[in-house]
Amino acid sequence: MKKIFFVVLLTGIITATQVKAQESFYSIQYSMGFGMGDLKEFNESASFRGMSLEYRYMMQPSIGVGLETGYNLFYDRLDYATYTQGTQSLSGIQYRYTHAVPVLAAFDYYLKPDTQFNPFVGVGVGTLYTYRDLDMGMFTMESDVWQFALRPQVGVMITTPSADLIIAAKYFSGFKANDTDGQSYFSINVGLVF
Amino acid sequence: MKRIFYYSVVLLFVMAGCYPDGAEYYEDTDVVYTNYDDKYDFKSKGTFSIPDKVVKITGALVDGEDPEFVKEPYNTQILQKIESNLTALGYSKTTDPANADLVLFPAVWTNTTIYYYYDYWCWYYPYYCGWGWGYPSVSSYTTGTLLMTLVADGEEFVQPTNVWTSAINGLMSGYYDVNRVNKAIDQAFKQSPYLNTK
Repeated sequence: MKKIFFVVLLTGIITATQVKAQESFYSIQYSMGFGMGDLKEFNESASFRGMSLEYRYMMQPSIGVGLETGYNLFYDRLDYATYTQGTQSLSGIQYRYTHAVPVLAAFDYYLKPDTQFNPFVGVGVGTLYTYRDLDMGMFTMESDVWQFALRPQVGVMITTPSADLIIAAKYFSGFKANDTDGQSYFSINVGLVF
Repeated sequence: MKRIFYYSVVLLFVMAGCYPDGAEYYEDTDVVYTNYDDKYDFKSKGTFSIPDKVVKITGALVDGEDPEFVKEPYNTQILQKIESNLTALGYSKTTDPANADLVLFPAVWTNTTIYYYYDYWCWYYPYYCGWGWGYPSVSSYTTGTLLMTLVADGEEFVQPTNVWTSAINGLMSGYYDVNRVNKAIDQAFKQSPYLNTK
């Protein structure tokens, strides 16, 4: 599973680098994720293993459209405990993983283009793929789902002599599909703009 | 454009190195499962019987042959730990299973899983997919299972009936760790408070 996700992201990287830049930019960001709702019930801990890749084409100095993908891994190790349902009980250590991969079309509005601090707001529409894995002993339970997702965000682009930076707060909201509750999480992203 | 590619690849490798590994020690894979018949009145019972050997299920038993058994001293260690737990729950041991309220049947088996993979460079260059590119990598692991079954044969049953089952499973380390087995047996009875006759 780990291999599949890195293949997807590497493909995204290779594809992104093939597009010619015309008043456009790319961004690579480190992403910290904080689960919400059903995702948080499964994985309480925050994700500090995440990244985001974005491409924006500037239709106007204040309007950018493009694509975005990313990856966040939520992981928890639950101490040895007993779980009972009816007459059955099972004891052991649990390892819980949630892999989240959004693929979105994005639209951003930049409030102060061509200034050093350029705040922006945006919205993304697309899909959120979530793969969930629960390991207990030598046994594993897996499930995955593709969900329609919306992603509002706010952030700021900072222009410096040495590098252009981006800081953004995003909220990924997946909608219920196939009897799976919508998976959602909030992320803080920090990265570079090229 | 090149810079984002290089930075992205570096970040990918960093994240690959940070991927959590899950279980680190053999005992982290130990699980204990129990299930029972909630209509059976354990409190009114008081005696149990247990064989003096733990049978080893191999799946290769031929009609007329004796089964394999767990070797000493492991056999005695397992039986003594089971007996001590049942005694602590208020049961008395009898040697004749016909006179016992409950008979505990212990059994063990191992399962070896062999897996191999090849074409593991397929992701890099799909041209090589399906040709067995790269030497196959073979690995295996063995799990052990201890099964304990309490069987009742009282007036309320037409035939001997299973009223409690416990299965203990874990990854085998290659050497017998009595502490792992004892801890798991204790846990099986600890999570079965309904067995208590006191």
